[in-house]
Amino acid sequence: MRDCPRRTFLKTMALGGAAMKLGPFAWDALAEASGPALSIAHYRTSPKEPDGISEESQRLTREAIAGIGGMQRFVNRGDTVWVKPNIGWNRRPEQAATTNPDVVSTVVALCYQAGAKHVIVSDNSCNPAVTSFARSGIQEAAQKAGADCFVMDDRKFKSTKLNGKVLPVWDVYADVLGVNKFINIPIAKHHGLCKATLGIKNLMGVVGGERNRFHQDLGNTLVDLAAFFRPNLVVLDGVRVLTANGPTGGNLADVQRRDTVVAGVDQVAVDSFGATLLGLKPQDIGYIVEASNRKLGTMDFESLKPRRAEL
Amino acid sequence: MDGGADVYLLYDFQVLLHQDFKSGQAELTVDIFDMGNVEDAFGMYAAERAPGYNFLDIGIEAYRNEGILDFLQDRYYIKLAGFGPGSDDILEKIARVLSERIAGTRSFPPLLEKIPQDHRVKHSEQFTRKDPLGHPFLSPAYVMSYKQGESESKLLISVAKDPAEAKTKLASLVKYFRESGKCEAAPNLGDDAIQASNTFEGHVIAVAQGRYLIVIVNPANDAAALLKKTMQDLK
Repeated sequence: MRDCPRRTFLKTMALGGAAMKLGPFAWDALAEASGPALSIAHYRTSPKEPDGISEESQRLTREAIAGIGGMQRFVNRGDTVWVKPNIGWNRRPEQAATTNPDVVSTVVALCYQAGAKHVIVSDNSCNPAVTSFARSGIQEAAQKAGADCFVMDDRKFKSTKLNGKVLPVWDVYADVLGVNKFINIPIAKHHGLCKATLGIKNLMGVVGGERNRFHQDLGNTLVDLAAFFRPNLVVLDGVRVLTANGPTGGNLADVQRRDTVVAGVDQVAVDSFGATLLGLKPQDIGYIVEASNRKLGTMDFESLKPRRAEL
Repeated sequence: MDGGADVYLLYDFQVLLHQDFKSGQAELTVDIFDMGNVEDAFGMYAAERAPGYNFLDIGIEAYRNEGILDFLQDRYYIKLAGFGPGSDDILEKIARVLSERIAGTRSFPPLLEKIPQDHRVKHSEQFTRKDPLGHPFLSPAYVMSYKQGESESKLLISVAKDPAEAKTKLASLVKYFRESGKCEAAPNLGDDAIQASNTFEGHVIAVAQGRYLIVIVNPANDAAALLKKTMQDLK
């Protein structure tokens, strides 16, 4: 700290103090705190052909992450990174029940470019995992990008203190807690119970146990997860969104194009913007309101002055 | 099915039969939800359908899209999903075989067949177990749209145990509108009929008929005729 102006010193100490309160992946909270908080990339056209959608998804993801400072802001050389898409359902990518595989593979590639040593892609699927991993296209795409993409082993869920408001303890996949960085990649979908499933809801995929019990109080259980995990980065897939009959979906008539990818460090702000992709306001979604009330982030995503890019 | 399960539970889901099939490169999953009775099966089926879907004549009704075919028959809601080359061709064949084997009723709940069909928006009917239009006292209810020209109304038929309960539902509706807007008697529409309005629901006309409370939201010019015809059909 030699030759460090007093103001900078105090700011650094304050940020370091804040970092102490953050979740298990907060190693570089200082790096995360310095830079844009939210980046929104949108495609002007809406390609119909698979190759066109694939290219769009990759470009949007790169642009959204570049707009927030690039992956090097979050991933250091030698890091082990857990990338958490939605691989919950036995659905094809175009059915928009699982994360777009091109968004996933682009994030994986960017992690390696930033110097990651090991990137893991996995999820605790609701449908049979082997078919969900394959049919979603995520396993193939992630592995092609160099990730270690595997079906979770039930024996590896370990009772973990969350110190949550309603979840003091819950089973967490042990390997997740051993990584350096955690990147959450949800897809924006309608949800029959909580109106929308976005990033915070996507965190259910790294816990086990009787997750159906969460539904008794989603407003608090999900926010307990959000308060515990606090992803380093959230990349929201809004290329195709499921506008009805979520979370399982299946009917292409329920899928609409939004041609958008969002990257953010504020998981509440990302979800708040994600709600608008589904025609909702963040105030409509109980767990977003609760997360905001608990100061995990802001619903007023515009106040973060998001960086916007049109491609 | 994670959070998707709660809607099924609301409609008194009983049992699910799940089976996977494979034929060459085509894979098929079949889910048969036993919802306990025709009304709840219809409620669950209708909760997931939309008027713009591609409908087929299988069972009571079916719709399909690339990779999926869902249909309603008797007390069952059947969902098929196909993956891989040739799976779409198999979906309809399998659905028809299942329909034949399930047998049972191929008719909608009787109330839907009784009430006016003219100007009803096809496939808009729903059976709502919980809080129709946001009001617990209206549960359960059939809700459907009627359209003439540019004007679209909603017809809601709240089902009571008996005529006394129907009158109680009407009284609750009156109380609600008196507190939130305006409500007055509409004797031209029937005994104890009302017309009401507020900034949220807009305009409403309603009457109790036997064990039903009949409500029309956003009544069009011919709403009085629709109301009276519905009363007549439900006698």
